[in-house]
Amino acid sequence: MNDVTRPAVEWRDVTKRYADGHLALDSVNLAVAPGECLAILGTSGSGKTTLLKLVNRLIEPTSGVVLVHGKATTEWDTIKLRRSIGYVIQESGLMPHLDSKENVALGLRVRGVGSGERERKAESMLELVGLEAARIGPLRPHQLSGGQRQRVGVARALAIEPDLILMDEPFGALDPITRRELQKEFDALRKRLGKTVILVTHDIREAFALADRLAVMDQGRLVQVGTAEALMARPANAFVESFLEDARAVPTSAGRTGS
Amino acid sequence: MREFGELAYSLRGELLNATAAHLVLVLEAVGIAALIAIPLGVAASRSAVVERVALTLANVLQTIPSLALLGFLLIVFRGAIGKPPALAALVIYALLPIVKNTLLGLRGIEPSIVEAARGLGMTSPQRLRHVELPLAVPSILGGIRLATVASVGMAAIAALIGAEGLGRFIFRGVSLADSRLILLGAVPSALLALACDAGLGELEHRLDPKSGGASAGWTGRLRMGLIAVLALLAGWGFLNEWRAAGTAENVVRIGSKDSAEPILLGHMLADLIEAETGRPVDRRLNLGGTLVCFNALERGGLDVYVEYTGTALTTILGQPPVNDPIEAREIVARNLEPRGVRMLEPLGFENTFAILMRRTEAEERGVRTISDLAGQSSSLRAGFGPEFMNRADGYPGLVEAYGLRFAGAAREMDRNLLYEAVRQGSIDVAAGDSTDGRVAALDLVVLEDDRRYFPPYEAVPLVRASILENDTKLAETLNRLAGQIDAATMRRLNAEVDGKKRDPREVAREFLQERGLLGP
Repeated sequence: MNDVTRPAVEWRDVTKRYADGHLALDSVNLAVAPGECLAILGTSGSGKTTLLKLVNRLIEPTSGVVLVHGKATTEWDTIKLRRSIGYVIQESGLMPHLDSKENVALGLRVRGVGSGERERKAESMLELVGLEAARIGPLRPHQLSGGQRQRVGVARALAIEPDLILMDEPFGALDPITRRELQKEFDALRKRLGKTVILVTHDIREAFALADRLAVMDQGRLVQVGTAEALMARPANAFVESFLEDARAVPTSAGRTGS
Repeated sequence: MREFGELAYSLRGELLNATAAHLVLVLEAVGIAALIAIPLGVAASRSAVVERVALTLANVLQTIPSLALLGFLLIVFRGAIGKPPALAALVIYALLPIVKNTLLGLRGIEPSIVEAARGLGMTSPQRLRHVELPLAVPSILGGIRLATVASVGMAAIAALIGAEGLGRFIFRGVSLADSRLILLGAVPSALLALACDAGLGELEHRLDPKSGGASAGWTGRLRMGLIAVLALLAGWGFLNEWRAAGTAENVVRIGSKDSAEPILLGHMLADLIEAETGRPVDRRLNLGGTLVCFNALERGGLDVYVEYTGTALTTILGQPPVNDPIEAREIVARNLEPRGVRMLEPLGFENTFAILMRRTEAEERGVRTISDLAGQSSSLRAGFGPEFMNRADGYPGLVEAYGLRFAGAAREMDRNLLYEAVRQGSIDVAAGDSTDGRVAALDLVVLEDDRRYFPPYEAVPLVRASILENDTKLAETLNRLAGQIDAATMRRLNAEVDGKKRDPREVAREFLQERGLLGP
């Protein structure tokens, strides 16, 4: 993190048009600083997930460049790029045929890490996300609660010790109480580990709770970028304003954002 | 029912071996099919072109009628009968369900899981190995289960081309019109299918990540028990096969077509060879028809079988029938010689169409030959089988050759009902089989074909010339039956098997002993 001039991730004039003609992203320019947590906020279909998947090259841009650690994704070896980035998705994306420990260790396994080290690492990661490794380790995803699954998903992303973590609606499928709890824990964990996080969400309160800055997307265009306070003070347009209404209704959750 | 139990008990050894061989054939076929179909399914899931080609091909192969496929494979395998073509046929039929289910299993994986695997930086082969194939296992096993159950049924048909298994009982039962034998093959075959279904179902259940474990309670235990029984049975089958492979040296393979008479003759030749030459004999009796037998003989899958000169002339050589028996024999011998097949001496009887009447009626009317019939035919009612009615060399030719005019139109009825119909007097004249056991049993007579309208069908052993070359004793032994069996004797022996349901092997041995043909 010594290179303060170089963003962890940068989108330069990125446009994505799908084969069916749908324009998902329209000349987006955006940068994420190292150690920062950026929330990409928008309604469904706004292009926020597309923006995220450009980073680990699950999607290729139609035009423009995406830079990760200063290097264009097209210059990266795709497999190496993905192995250096943590990835957490909604419904966790855990492998149903593997137990929790094996799921956490999967990223290490495909990188050829030996089984003993994998095991140790997986156990410590489970503990790190607040799961009892001895009890949860041998259980398969269908035997876990939704919150436990999501924790395992986070542990899996952390296991490869990435500088950068991408999260796509990570807590979206959870009940509100579990969600708040996980958000709080994750926020603490992230700050302790100093990771760069890009978080896609449609939930303004989640964005306020976790992110340093928010990027609001609407129909493929980046509408406004800034801190929660900046957005609250000067919403760029009516769309941002309507989004913020939800957060204003619960002033307590907005109160803690200035970090 | 009690009789059935006794038969099953008396054949228990053969039944166990046949069941084991049946299972082994199925397992080998499905195993080979899986080795081909799973990679094909994987390739199909990766490429739309492969998918289209693989599924179309597998679909088309699936629609080929089984008998046509077996016939075709006999040609491909150059007449080698028995296991290789049977295995190939079963493999071909087993491909489709496995390819399809592999493809479905891979396609059915949740997109979020595939995406997570990609996001983890797994290469395509890693995804296949660590994620996609393990998750497709239940579906693939489902395909294997479908293929296995279908193959158990299919494998029975393979007996027509000499493959071992339960089909041998079924077709023996069909040939000898003995329903007990049919059941003896069909019941274990059905049980085998059910056991395979339950056993593989249990494996499928255990390997499903979402259930992950044995079925609860006694069903799980029962199914595991079934798997154990199947494994033992398969082990026994493999052992048998392995032991048989060791004794293949200098064995004489004797074939026969699928009815009582050729089966009896096959057993006679086999017994003679065993007794006289000491060479081991493989009895591949009850094969599905003339061409199966002859192709196998010509190409080395069989060494000996009994043919009829008329059939050899028309069906094998594709020549017009010849009415003089000696000329027919000469043509057959001359034409088979360059194909490496020797015709031995005739056994002494003909199996041809025979015009039948009640003995009493024939004697009253003084009818001995078909010509005698001509003057009286207007007061006699006739009945014939559908084939005879419609063949140019059947009914239409017959009435013309002898100038017959029966009372009313000739009745067309099932061949097997004709004998009884004549005896009961619902018809007076019928065309039957000259050596059918029922001719004697029902007190009928065969009218002499004095104008030689029906071509001669003399029974003659056909032998692969190469096995006679360095074994003069063998030729001599095979010729011992020459002229030994006249039509009346053959009818009597057939009646023992068809009528009294006796074991053809036993009847054949008895005959050889009666005639003192088995040596001192």
